[in-house]
Amino acid sequence: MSTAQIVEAGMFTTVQDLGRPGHSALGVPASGATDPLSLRLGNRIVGNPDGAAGLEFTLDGPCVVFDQDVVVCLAGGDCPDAAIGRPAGPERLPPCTPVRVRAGELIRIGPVRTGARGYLCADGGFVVDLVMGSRSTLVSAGFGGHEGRALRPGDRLGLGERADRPVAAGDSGRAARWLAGVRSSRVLRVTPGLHAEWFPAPAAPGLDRSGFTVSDRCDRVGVRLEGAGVPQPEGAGRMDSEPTETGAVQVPGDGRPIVLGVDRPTTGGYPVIACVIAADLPVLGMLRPGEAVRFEHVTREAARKAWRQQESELDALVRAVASDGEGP
Amino acid sequence: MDEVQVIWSSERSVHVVVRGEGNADGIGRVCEALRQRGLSGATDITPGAGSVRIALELGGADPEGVAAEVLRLARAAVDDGDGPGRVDGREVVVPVCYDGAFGPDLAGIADAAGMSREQAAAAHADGSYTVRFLGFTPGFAYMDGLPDALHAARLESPRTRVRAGSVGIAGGRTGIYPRATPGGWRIIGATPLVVFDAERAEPSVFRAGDRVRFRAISRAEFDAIASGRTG
Repeated sequence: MSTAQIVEAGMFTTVQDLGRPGHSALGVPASGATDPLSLRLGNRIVGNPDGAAGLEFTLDGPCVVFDQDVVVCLAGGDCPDAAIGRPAGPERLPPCTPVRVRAGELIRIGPVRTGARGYLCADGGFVVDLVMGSRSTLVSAGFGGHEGRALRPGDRLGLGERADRPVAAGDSGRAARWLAGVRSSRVLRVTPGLHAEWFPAPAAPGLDRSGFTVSDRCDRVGVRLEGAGVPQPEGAGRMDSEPTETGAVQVPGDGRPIVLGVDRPTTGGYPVIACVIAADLPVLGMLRPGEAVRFEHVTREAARKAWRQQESELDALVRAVASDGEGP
Repeated sequence: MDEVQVIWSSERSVHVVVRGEGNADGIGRVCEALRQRGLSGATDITPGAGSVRIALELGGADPEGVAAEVLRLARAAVDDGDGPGRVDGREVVVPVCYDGAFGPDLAGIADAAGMSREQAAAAHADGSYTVRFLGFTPGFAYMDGLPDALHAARLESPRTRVRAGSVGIAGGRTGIYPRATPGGWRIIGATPLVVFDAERAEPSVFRAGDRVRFRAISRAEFDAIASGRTG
């Protein structure tokens, strides 16, 4: 089995796949990529199934070297400095493009300039033991991924059997532009949350009118927002713990919303005013501290339609990439 | 009857809310009914204190129809007492050492209850508890059944680190920290058991609905169990 060695770890780099849904009754969140769209696209471009594990890095990427030739794909936020150390000198590693890297050539990803996170996918996927059905790392509970923690220099990860699928070739610029378009949105579309009716009416227009800024307290567990406080409902302090959701917009006593992420606690004691729609979870996963963001209520039907639309765009894009850019 | 209500909590999940006294039993019944029914399109069923969350398959054919079926099953399970009812949970016995070194808050709780430390520990160990739900961190079970005299508010300021296995009290509940984390519950003792290990075939010692008893053990027995555990 070929292996990848982590030479520099970057700021916070973990192994993630599409997570372990279905265990929240045991207090186990789904985890997985915070931007599943980028991971899936990267995987498809190197010919992996959507759920193969990749490396998710935050704000500053790792340096990685493989001991055999491998096809990789960089996806997610913009990493303009990403490069491969070729014998003839550094060669830029473009996004959403299958690139063959020779054994011993150092991949240096560097800072993520737009979007909070990026993904490095490799042909065959990174292989660590499955824990509760997934390779995803849950750092807060110390399991999954590589030893239940963020990667460090010197760590070695195996790669899986290469998938018997063609690697996509062609106009990856289109894929990169599409992902950039998705994550450049500063609007999180929401539907009403579990406790929406507790809030002083009319909660939804009030939330939609308020602008927020992403605070420094922004990680895989949740994104805390700053801005005009959202008024809390009467009696919220006496609330008991209820099951949570990725994307749930909790309003704690200080009125500054916390949008729960993929590593969220599975129950929470703050009232939930709204929930980010599935199609905008990739936007949530890409928010950086200091960015402005606002909410926009939509209907459940519009939310489902947005998700179907995004899925069909992803499918069309990968078909287009695979057929040398001739797509719709 | 408006005791049972289905609320859309996103476009991809509903919560069944069960109100009123005895809703813990109702929530157990709803979970059991939904699990036994094997509702297609429901991917995750999670109980909380007053509600059950049902995650629906993204892109499922008829989410609104699944929600209607959830409501029908929940009403039948709670109002009519139809369906499988609440399956009696297993009984789990948990050894706990109430030594001062493990239970920094036991003395304060004993004082407030007008008891000695030994009496307060015995009162906790003699209780009969039920796991209401799990949450906060993997394997953390929120248990009902704490004797009234031992009820205590959370710490004003949470500890930055509570050791794994610590047994705590908050309000009318007791619970065990599966791993070292920050925590605001008042700590009265510790168990040598590993209550959650994701790599075990059965990761969690506790499931919602389990009945729990504590067995008071000495420091020597704690050490013996803990050392046996690690090999």
